[in-house]
Amino acid sequence: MQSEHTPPISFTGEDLHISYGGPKIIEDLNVVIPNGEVTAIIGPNGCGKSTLLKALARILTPDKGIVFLDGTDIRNVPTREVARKLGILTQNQRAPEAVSVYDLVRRGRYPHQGIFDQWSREDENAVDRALETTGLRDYKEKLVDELSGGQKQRVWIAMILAQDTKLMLLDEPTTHLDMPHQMEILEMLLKLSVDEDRTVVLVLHDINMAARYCSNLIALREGKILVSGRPSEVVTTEMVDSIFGVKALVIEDPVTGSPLCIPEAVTKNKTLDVLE
Amino acid sequence: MVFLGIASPRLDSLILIFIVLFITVALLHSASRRKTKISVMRLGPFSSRLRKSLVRLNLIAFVILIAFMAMGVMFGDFPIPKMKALSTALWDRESEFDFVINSIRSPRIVVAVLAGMCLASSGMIFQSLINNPLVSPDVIGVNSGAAVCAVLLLAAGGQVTYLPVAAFIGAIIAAVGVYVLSWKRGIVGTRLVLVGIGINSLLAAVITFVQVRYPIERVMAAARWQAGTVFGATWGDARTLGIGFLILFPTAFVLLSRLRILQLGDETAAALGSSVERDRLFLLGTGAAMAAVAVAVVGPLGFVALMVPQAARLLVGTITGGSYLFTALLGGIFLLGADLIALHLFAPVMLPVGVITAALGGPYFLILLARYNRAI
Repeated sequence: MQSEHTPPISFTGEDLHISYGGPKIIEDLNVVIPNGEVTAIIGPNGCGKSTLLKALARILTPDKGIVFLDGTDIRNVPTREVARKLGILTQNQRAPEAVSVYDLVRRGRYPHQGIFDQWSREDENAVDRALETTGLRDYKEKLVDELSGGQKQRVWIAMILAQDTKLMLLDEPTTHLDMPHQMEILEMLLKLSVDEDRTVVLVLHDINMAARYCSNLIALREGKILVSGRPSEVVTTEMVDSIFGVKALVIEDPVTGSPLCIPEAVTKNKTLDVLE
Repeated sequence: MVFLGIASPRLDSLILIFIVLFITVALLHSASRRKTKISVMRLGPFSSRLRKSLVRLNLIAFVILIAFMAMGVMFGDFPIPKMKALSTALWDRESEFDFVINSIRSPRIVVAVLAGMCLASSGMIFQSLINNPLVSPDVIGVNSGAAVCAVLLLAAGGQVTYLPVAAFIGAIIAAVGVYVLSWKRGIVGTRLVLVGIGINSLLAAVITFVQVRYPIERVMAAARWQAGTVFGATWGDARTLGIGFLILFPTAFVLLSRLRILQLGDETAAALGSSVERDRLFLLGTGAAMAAVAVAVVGPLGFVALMVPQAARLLVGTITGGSYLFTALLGGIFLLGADLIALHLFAPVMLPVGVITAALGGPYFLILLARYNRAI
């Protein structure tokens, strides 16, 4: 893989406004994704986490504002070229009928291929490596339909690993997974970022997992960034209260030293009223 | 005994046909169950992965198709020695059977094979694109559009010769109409299907109206075409289909890699760098045109496009270049096989092949569903 030799990629969103034709989901939002780090976007349900991630990945066009990839407006770059630099895994994937693990993962090579469905050594190596990293090597001829939920999730992650992009965006890659599988996936993504200098952006529900595995957190509420920075700056008693409306005790995680949030009670918070 | 006496000249060929059909199904099933081995073919930009079992399966299907074509030449209403029939078809232009073989049987066989291949490929494109195994080109109005124009042409006193042209135009207009009506900031599969169902019932009403309103003698000419038949196919029909096939089949082949990406859903496809709406329009256009060409010549044969891709997928899995080719070959085998049965089952009465495809298609479909109940 050539990723180790490519220069860092700058990735920012400026003045983003997004709505699905109705009320504003994201309003006047500026964001800088630090290069080579694992960033988590956190926040309550409906705060616009997934919407922001999709807008950053040009899957959703903002009403206003520009996403810059390497200093260029992402909409002015051919979509295939973007796909060679940026991969995104959205939620609720459904595999086509009767598709094998290998066949699905190798579709991640699409942006690197020509008009014919060519198959280069580079493609083959990238897919083999993706299967190795996700621990799916022994499953490659299995049908995706026959796998467990955790394995399926790993197949999709393997697909965007095969895409071999410097930037990887994942929307809740750990939902529906049990604790060991959650940790496995987050550890894998952290390793990719550390060893291969990839930039990873995650949407995560679990604030403690986010604080533990990510070096940068972006806390959203009602379509705006409330606070962003190191976990120790973001995960504090006051912030947890204003982001989630939860009164919590924040202590130092005795294992990793990262902040650990222990919820005590739901406080009256207008975020929740908006949702009702 | 008297009955047998009458039937016996055809009974041998009928039994033979059923034996061959049985062997075909058995061979295809067993071949698809072998373990897969993959080899990579490296030819610069054309490098591709080959599943050995799929290559073998394609070869088997090809051999079966050739065998069926040979049978089509050898068996028929007019008694001709079997070897003589083959030699007449292949090289003997001086033969006394030249007319029967080369003007009646051969074009019919070629039309059946090409129409089957077109319909099956088209069905595969639609089913994969809309991610729904029960979708086929007739759902988006190809068949009924063709039928309306054909019936209107005949009712207005037009020549039967222009029927394929009218049918093709009708099929394309209906497909475009369904597409345009389904468009709302993009195309969603379910909306396409629902709009298609609506348009289909509307067009069916138009057909009924025309049939009731206009003199029966005129409209009856369309009835046989409407059942779907390769009866009386000419070399002209074969040429029409052949040209369509040669343009559209490779086009769809090139578009396959895009289809494989669109299959993952719009968001994932967009994430992988696919121009979703453009690619989908290309694929729908190619698929609709492929079905339209077939329907224009052989009439609205619904079951082939629905069932053959299903059967192919159960045998070879999801879409690749190899499974696309296999689906097409299976379509050719199926339609030709059905036509052979249509010719011989109630000989000397010849059935329209559409009756057989429906009668064969239904039960076979149910058997497949029962055997592989995980698929749907």
